[in-house]
Amino acid sequence: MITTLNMKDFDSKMNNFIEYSIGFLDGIHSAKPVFFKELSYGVVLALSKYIDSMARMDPQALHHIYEWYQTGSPEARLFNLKSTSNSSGFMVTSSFKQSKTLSKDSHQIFANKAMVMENGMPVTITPKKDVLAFEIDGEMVFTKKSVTVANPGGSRVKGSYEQTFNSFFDNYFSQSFLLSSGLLNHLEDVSTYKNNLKQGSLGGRSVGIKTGYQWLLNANIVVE
Amino acid sequence: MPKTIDLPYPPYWINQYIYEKLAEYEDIGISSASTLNPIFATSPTNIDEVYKDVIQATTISEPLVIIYDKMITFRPTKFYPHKREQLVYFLYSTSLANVNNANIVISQILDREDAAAQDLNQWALEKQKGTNPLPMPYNVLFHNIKVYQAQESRDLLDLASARTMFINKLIIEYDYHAKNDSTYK
Repeated sequence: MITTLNMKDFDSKMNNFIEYSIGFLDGIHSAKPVFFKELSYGVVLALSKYIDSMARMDPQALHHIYEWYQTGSPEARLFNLKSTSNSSGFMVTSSFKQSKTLSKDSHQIFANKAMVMENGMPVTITPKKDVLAFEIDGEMVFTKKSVTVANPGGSRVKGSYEQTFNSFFDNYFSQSFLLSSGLLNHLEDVSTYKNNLKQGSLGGRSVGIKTGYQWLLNANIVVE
Repeated sequence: MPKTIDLPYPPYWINQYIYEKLAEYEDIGISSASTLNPIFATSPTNIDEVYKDVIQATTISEPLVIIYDKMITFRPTKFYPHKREQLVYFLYSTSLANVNNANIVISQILDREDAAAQDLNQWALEKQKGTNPLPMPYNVLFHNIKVYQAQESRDLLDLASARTMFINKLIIEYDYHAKNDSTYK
């Protein structure tokens, strides 16, 4: 019995397999900026909804980051969440917006209420012309002197936005978000690599790049 | 004219199921004899007011009150009818034991993935029968249920009435699809 091995064909296929694998990794690397950009959009959307929900559940602690009497409403947010990303990862930053609505107890807009209350900054109110009129325990008080409010917004608002923001990334993001969004399952499943292996043995590196790039981009997150 | 209660709304089923299961235990602060379900959707009302009302309505001195809110909906697969939602639950009571006991029961009953979903589906199906069926049609099929602890520690809240309230925060996640008939499929 004579067995003939076509080593030329074998070498060519093995070479293509290796090129396919390297191309797959290169494709993933190329897709990273787009992947992290899409991921950061999903994270910002989820974080916004998380903060809204926590504010509705605990308005005494988070009312200051919304327009008056609209705590937890997405349209009334006094915070901005912004994401930046590159091929290494993404970053979410936050800033406060100025309030544009009036409290029912005031004739002046408290523009920086979110920032002032979050930082627990005391506020001194000085009458412009006449007297200050305000209510304490149901009784009206009138004074010509300046009044200092030590804890504007109440005792529970100081640092509560920062705490909620941090709890999202410290607890919720790793415990729930990665799994619940389906992202972790997608990243653990590399069957796409195996499914395209035959094509990769013919096409080599170019097939690998395309497969890796598309595999990472398919790991999109849909938050509704 | 259609009613909104006829629309598929998973929190109805989750809340009713949790209420009935918690009421089976004597050391949680929920009475099965009471007609008041102490699980409320979040509202602008102060928790102090809600708590006082529940004490009056149930005559339980340290009742358990649960406030919930629908937090996030994910679409985990490309098959759009498959939804994944998260409810955030704040468990309130002036008794720390009640809060802890309720936490244990909810986790034990619901944090069992597809087995918990099967139990809930079976319970919902049974609730369509009998002399006193639930008013909403069984139009949601649960696939999977999980429970997360939102924060590690129990929080404290000093109320205007000088009571100290203990709070525990849970996230209940469920996968489901809406269905058109009241059969188990």
